[in-house]
Amino acid sequence: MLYFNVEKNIGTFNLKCEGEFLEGVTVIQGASGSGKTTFLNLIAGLLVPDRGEISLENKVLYKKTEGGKKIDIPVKRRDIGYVFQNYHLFPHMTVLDNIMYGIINQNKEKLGLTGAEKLE
Amino acid sequence: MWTPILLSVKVAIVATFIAFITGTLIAYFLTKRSVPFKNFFETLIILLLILPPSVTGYILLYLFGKRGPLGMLLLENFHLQVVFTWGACVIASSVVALPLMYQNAKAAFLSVDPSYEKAARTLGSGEVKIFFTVLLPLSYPGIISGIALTFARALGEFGATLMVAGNIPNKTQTIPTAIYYAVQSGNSPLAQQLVVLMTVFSFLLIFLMNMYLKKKDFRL
Repeated sequence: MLYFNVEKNIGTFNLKCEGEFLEGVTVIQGASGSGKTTFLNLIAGLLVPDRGEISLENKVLYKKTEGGKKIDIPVKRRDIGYVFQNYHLFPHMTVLDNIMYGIINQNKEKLGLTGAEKLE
Repeated sequence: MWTPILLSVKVAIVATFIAFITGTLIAYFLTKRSVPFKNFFETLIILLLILPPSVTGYILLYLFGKRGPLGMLLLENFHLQVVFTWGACVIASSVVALPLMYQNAKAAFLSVDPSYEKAARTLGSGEVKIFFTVLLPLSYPGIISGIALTFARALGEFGATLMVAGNIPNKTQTIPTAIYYAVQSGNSPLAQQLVVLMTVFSFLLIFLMNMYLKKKDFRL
């Protein structure tokens, strides 16, 4: 379960969202400029909320309340996959390098696969 | 004729290396990280580009001189006196060439779409890994042109070098100072040889770099 209750101000734009997503596929829809991408960036950790809380499976990803200690798990340790709007293949890498980029950041032994095996 | 050429090349190589490391790192921190007094530091670097080299040279002479703060520090702790040695040529060249490296690296970093870094972050990379595997390779053409311009600038450094390193033949005399003193002492043939050499070399460096970068640019 993903729980969120966050606020973020970007210039004059003010985003406030609260709710929870249960297991399964969730679709977020809204008008252009309503904050869909901002919201996703907050969950992934690419943007830092001004205040609030985000937790995934009872693990706090972000928490900042009045007087409380701030928790902000870095993006690389959130274990959240993200497919960008314009899918970003690294132009300076080969197809194999692109595939392996995220994989080698995880525990290699746990995967027990080489790039070629993974490709097959 | 060959001593100033060899010294110039040696000085330019070391100075380019120093300016490359510092210029690239400063550009990275000032463009990609939140650093206090950003504007102040940037102005300081650009100042080196617009100040007359003699002014930069004088400031370096004060800092690294026997009674200067850095000069005293080096002398007392390492028994090193840099002023009027080839080390002073290196300091002068790297300081004067630093803004060129900084400007090119900065432009190169800013030209990289930040989403690549974001994508790398979501794939589990830390900032250091992103710098070496994503940012640096993608800004490679700008970095290469920065290195080439820095090298050319370091090779041709005159004013600041003359202030802190002087013009001691076989010790601190580089191509530009050798040209100046050849003209002063009426040795036109030597001056002409060095002038042709400098011009041809600098032309070739920039020409070949542009050719190489046109071939290499992999950005879509």
